[in-house]
Amino acid sequence: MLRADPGRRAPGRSTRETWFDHAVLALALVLLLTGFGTIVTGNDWWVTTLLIALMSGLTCAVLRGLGFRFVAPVAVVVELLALAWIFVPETLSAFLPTLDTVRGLNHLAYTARIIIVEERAPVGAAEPIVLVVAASFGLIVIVADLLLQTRRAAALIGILLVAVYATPALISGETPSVWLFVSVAALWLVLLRSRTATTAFVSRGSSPALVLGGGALVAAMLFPVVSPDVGAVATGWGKPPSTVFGRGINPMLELGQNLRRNSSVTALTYTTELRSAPYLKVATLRDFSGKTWRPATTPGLMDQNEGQVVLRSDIDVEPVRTTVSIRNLRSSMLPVPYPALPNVIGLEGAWRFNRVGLTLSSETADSRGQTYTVTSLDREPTAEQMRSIDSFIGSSVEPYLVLPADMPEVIAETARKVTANADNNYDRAMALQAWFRSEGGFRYSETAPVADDYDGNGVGVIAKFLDVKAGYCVHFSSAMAVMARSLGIPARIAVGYAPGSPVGQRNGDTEYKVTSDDLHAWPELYFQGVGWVQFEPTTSIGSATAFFEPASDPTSDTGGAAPETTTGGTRGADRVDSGTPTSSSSSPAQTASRSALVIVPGLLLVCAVPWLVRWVRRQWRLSRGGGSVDPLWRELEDLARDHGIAVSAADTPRGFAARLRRRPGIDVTALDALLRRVERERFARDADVDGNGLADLRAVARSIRAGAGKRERLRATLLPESIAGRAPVLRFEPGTEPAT
Amino acid sequence: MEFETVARAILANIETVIDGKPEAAEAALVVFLAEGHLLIEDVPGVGKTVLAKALGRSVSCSVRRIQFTPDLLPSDITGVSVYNQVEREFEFKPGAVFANIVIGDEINRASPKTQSALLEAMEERQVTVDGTTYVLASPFTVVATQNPYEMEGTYALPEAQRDRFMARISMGYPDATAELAMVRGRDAENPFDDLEPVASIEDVQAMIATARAVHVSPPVEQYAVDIAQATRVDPDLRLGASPRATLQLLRAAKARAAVQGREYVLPDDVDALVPVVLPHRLLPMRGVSSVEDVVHRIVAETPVPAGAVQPS
Repeated sequence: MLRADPGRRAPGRSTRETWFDHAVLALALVLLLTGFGTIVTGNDWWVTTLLIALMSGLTCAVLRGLGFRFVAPVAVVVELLALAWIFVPETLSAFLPTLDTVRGLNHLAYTARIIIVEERAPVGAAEPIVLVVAASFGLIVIVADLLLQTRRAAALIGILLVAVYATPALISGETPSVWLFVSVAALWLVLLRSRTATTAFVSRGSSPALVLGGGALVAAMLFPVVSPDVGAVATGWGKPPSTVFGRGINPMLELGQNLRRNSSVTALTYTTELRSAPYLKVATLRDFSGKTWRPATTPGLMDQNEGQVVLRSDIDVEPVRTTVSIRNLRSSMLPVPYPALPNVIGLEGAWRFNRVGLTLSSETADSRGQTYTVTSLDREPTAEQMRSIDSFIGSSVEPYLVLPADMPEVIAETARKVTANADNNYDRAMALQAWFRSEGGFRYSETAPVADDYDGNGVGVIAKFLDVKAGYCVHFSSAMAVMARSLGIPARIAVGYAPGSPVGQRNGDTEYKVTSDDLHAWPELYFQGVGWVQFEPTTSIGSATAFFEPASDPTSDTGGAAPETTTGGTRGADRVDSGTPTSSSSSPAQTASRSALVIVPGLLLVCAVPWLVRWVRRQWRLSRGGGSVDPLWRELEDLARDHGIAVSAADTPRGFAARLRRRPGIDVTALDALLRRVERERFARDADVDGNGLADLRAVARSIRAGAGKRERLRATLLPESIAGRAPVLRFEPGTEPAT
Repeated sequence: MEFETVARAILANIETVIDGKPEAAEAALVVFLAEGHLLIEDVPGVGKTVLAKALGRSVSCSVRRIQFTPDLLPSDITGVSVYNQVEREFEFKPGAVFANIVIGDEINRASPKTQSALLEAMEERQVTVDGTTYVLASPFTVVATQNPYEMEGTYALPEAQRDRFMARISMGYPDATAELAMVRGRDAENPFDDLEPVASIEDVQAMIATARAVHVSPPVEQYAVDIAQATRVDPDLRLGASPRATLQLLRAAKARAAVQGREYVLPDDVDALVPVVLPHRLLPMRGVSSVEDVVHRIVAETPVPAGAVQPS
């Protein structure tokens, strides 16, 4: 025959065995999916993942069943379309992807990367994470399907299964389930046995592969038992020892995790030349997604210039030194007062001075045992100077004004109401601070957050916080920053330590002790010519920021941006009792149901596209009357191709008709009539035939369809070969019949 | 007289003496009606000469046979001027080519000089002896038989001369049934005795005119050219088809269409004739065993133009 066998079965496997292979593999993959529960929380993500995986598997199965050749690429395209329909349905135009779809998916993947890098497993089933997991599993299914077609399938699939099994353990650092391993390994052995048993070289009883595999499985089961260290090693693997502000982790979330610890330990001590004890900043959070605050991913223009603090010439500035000794703090970031200058003395290891937020961090060095002296600026603007600062702000600070699109109206409304009497940014900031601290009736509470959906710093939580009026530093700082942004004041959040308590004198300076209970978050607002100024909205913590007012009580002048710290014993307990620190996603359940709603018609539509193309072409040809039989003949050729009859561009009409005639059940009379017509039209001097043989074509087409098997007919409908274009010139093979 | 009927009658007539070789008979008739010359190449004794004679008998035209031998002279073929003592002037004695059908038996046994005398007559359709030109009869067809080159005492026909033949066929051995029938039938009587002409020379001339008028549509012309071009670039061929080959291919295709009762040529006519018209003009590359296979492949892989062909 001129046609190559498309190969719908794996080499050497019967159809039934192929189905068995696929079923075993599918079961193994579903089992492995449960292993991902250790790195993704929630229950809804796997619905979407299973749907995508199922769809990829079905696509492969259907395509192979139809004898289609390029299964994997098509399956990948179908998977991408399905992902687009589920995750970025708004970007699709008439169910077809647009450039926005690519952007949307890319953005989600990008966000997923940030979440993976910044957050600690297990992460919430946010949309980007579900996308990544679902896409990966869809791909795994396609790869597995591909592997099953190869001769060395069992070995390759073993590698694939181990990789999928190990992934969650590598990410979470937790020992993966032994039983999961045992069951997946057992399924793999079944696969191995069913394949080796059909190989001629291996006798059924003593398959060496089986013996080897079984032995390996037993060894793997015994290994954890006889070697107790394995568990410990595995637990520590990939997860740094307990740290505060570990590298690469979102500090806002670390804050909550560390505050939840019960034991209070001395984190550090410091002495300072500052008249009032400074807040010590560890990290700066700029980007507010509506769910959580994150460090700036792409530093803006202003961020790069933050180091060269530009102050108005009429503002008093004095460099002051602070010496910090780290006690029990293990971190890749170091607390420093704001705004610090880059020349920090006494550090060991490679530390980087971050232009954004003016903090210190390191990729390699450790905070433990460090003692360093940092010079910071003591800025002393008067309240009058602050009030005179123009609220006009250039584009460079725009990242600090970004608000999530779905922000509840109540937040901005409240901000406007509270600051109704203020006519400059300073007064507005002061009004907000005062409202949070005292006038608004807010209450510092560690127990308030236990209510559900009140455990984060997202916009929804802020709105609720404004209603409940109880919370802790995360709520206060987040709410003030968002409200400031809504008023047009650039704002960000600083994370670090509250000033701590004085413990004595050293070298003429007061020494302060800071404990792990002093972990804190506060907003920083930007004033042009002064820089970032910290505020303290958290009620009962520290003291309000205020600048010297000549007309008012001079004692309230703190002489700087740093608010005074109460020295009472009540301070410090800015605890976060929140549960999951991660942003819980908007709608995994919604996503799942949306995917179900969209996948079925979407799939049907995708399936129908080839048929539709074919149908339109057929109608166009049949309607092109004008007495020409040419389009009808082309239609007949395409119809034959669709039904698996070889058609070559090198066929003469007669040659093609001869091949067609060999098919049982063909209406030979009609075929010959049509052939006479097309030959006369194409090759004779004058085609004196009336009509265009539409009836003949219909008769032949009917007989072709009637003679086709069920599978052939299905394939001709769903995947007509002729939509791929004109028939190619089939290669001549010696020994086959010549063209006529 | 109906073209197709006569053609069928001629073929039927030939088949009474040649059993089981309808393709060879048809090829011979097609070449005859296309005013070409036929080369029959095969081992001795398979009916080469019988075929040629049967064709000649069937159309009641003059048939002459030349047995080529190494000592055959060119003048034996073209004719010679002899001095008539009575008339006191030179008189032309026509050679063997002065007939409608000339059978050249074992043409490759003659010396090249003699061979080329015949081949010149074939191409020019006239002979010149002592400054006088004599036009040959019409229709004029040479049916030459040739033993394969390997046989003893043969001079290979140069490719330039092979090119003059419109088609080359080989008879092949008859199958067992045909051979048995032949043995039984020919034992007692000579079948040539019963062979009656079924067409007059005028009929044949009319048929040749009809065949010449058969329509060749632009797609078919293009198709023939495409095939010829393909032989020239094919990696398996050292020498491709000449333009004369393309011309003769189409001429033969017209005759075949007429024999089949059509007034237009189909690409299938070209397909059917390429294996007899082209291979003897082509030279294979070293290591390629069969030119016929190469030609088959080229026919099977050259697309057939369907619609209007762009004039190029």
